[in-house]
Amino acid sequence: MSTGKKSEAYLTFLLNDEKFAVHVNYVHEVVEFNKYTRVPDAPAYMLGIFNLRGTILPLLDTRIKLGLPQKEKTTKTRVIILNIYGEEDAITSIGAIVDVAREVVEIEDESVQKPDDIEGFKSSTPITGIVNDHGDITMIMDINRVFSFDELNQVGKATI
Amino acid sequence: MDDNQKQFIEDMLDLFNQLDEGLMQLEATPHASAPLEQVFRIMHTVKGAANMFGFEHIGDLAHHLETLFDHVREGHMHVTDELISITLNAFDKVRDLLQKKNLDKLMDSREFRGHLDRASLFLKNHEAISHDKSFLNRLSTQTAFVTYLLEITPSIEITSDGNHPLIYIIKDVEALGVSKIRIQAREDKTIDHWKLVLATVSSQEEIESYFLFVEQDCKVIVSTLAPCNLLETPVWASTVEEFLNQRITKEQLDTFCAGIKDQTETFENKENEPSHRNHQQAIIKVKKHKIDDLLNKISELVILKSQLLNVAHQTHNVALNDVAERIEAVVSQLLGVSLDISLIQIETLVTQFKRLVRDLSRSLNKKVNFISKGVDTEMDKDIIEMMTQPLLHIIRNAVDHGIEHPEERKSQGKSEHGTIKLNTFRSNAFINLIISDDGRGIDKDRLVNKAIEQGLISRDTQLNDDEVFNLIFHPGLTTADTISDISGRGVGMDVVKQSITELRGSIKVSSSPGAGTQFYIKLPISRSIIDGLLVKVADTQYIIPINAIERIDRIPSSILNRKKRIQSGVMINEKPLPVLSLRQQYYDEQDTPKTSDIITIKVNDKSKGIAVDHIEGMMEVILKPMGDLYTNQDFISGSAILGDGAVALVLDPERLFMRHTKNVI
Repeated sequence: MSTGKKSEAYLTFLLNDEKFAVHVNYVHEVVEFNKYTRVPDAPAYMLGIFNLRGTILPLLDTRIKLGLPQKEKTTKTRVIILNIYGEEDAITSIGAIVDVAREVVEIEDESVQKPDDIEGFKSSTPITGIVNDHGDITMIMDINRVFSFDELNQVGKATI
Repeated sequence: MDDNQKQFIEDMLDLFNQLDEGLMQLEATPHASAPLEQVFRIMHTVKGAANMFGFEHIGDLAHHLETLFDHVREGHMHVTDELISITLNAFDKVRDLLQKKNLDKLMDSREFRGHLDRASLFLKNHEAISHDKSFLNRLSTQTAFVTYLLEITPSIEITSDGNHPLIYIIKDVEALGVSKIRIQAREDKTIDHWKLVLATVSSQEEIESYFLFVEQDCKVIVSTLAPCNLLETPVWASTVEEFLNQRITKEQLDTFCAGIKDQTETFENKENEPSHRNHQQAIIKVKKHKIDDLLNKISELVILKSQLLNVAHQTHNVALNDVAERIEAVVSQLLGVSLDISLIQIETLVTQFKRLVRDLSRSLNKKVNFISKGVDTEMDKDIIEMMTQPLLHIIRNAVDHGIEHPEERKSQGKSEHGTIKLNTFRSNAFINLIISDDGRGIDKDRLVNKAIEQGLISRDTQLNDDEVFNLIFHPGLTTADTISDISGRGVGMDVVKQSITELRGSIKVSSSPGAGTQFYIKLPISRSIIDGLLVKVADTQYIIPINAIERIDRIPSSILNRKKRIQSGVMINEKPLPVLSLRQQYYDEQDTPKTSDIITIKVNDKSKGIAVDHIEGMMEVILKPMGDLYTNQDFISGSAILGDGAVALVLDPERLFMRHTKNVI
């Protein structure tokens, strides 16, 4: 029986002590941070490549990409394997590093505040919504805006 | 002695054991191809490894012996006791020194002089004795020929200088191939019958159709003598002559031909089997990504297998070890099988070549046979597709410029039919394609003059043969009137070379005036399998494809003192070499090791050096794409997962230098 309230599943994770959520549709899986191979001549946040059970994926540092201060990797550091959508529905898998991966939660649509409604919120951020559960703030992140395929490509080309 | 050398010696000794086995097998069955291929392959590996690790005299010796076996393989030479003995003795010497780990003597050319001389002398003697040196070769490559006997008995009275159409028809039929004819005339000069022995690629039906319009004037019996060209080999031809001169009977000739049939049978089988098999076996088309997925999973399994083996060894559990080792065997077989899945026979390509030769030769009024060998050799589909145009270009050139017009060929004592041969065989992870023609060859003087005219080389440049022939690949050489008037239809020779280099293959050309031109093309079996040298720079492992590597030297890192650019004039092997240091270019220089290994590679026929921290070994890896994000790193062709699960970057040396040459300017 539907309660009439629409909700979506999100994976929550921590970055710089703040809680973020990403829609599970983008999430393939979460793995431990392991060794990777640096690739020369790439932007700082493109750390390198790693081996996910025989498939090579790029490893991206979310902190650097978002301009947050860098932090030592710990045993809690996780890599979220995300599907990024590009032109003509091309899908690229990437590994994004987060401080801690938490859990999958159901968030009701109506509990999400749009950033437009919040005063002083920059529209250019990848945050598409905020959930305030009695002071426990979760920011919903549009992962495509953080690591948009086109933008990543652009970055690659711009350094030539 | 460092670890690399220890490893080298171990590998060598292992190879020599295999070589012994192969040689002995070959001695027992001199005509079998499997042991011959094995012997050849091992020698080739020995040569490559020896040169790479600086044991150039071993490499040299292996090269000389390899040449002998190449002659055997090409059919110019038979396997004899002497050949086997020379080879065994030579490698016994090397083995002895390796076992004693006597590096000084291994580096001393005098140690091998005697064996080298023996090999050279053997080759020389052989070449002197056998003026008909391509005896077996012809046997094998000209299976397209069939020799027929035509007995033509006119039912009307005609003379050989008469005007009857039959006279002209017989002349036409003679021109279908190589032929010998005897006219048996009666006393009044009217013809009793003709006996015509014809070696041709035309079919019996085709021959018979010539006589269609004179059916009522004569009786024609066409019978097959042998499935090859009987007139090509002096011994056979003389037997045919004896028959025509009625010194031996038809029965005797038939018996003789039956003997030849047996000899050719091995080749026949080789050629016919695959196509035959093709018809019988069902073929399933599978989407490429499914195979890729399968390969991914299997490579993962290979890595897990190594881990399992490690754990098993540590636990000292006999039963576990046993299982682990069995899994290892199965997994490596599985890997082999799965890599094979994406390979297809080059047969499809050959059909296109045949068609091109046929069409082009007709439009140019030339007579050209196309003969192929080893069409069942398998290659990656992508590579075949990428090579189609370049190979067509080479063959087009051969028909267009190599093969002369029939009159010209005749005046030079050649057969009117020119021949273009494609010989394909596999060695290790490479496919060799040899395209040869028996045309006029490349005019070196003209080529050099053209290059001087266009300012590619200066007038006083001294070039050896290889360098001269390499000019045809020069992108600056305008080939409008030297190479192709059939141009404008696709690629030039520079593009041919470029395509091959891109595939991590190589191309060489040789030519002798009047005798023809040969292109030797070597391609990796699959784009995804790379024979590479594993090196380390800082914390990163790189794979450098072996096909590009010329030599390896170790130098003090202090010599490399210029930053962020290619440093010219680093003395390697007593010659100045431009060197690019990966560490200086991309990594922290704080902890540069005391020595650097310089890997000398050939980029556009110029030697360049890449400096790395050190070499870790040789390995065969599977190339994996790095994904769409790394578009700026074109000097890295992809990545490879190593045995321990770590990821190495596969370097594209040519692009690396292209990138930095641009930066310097």
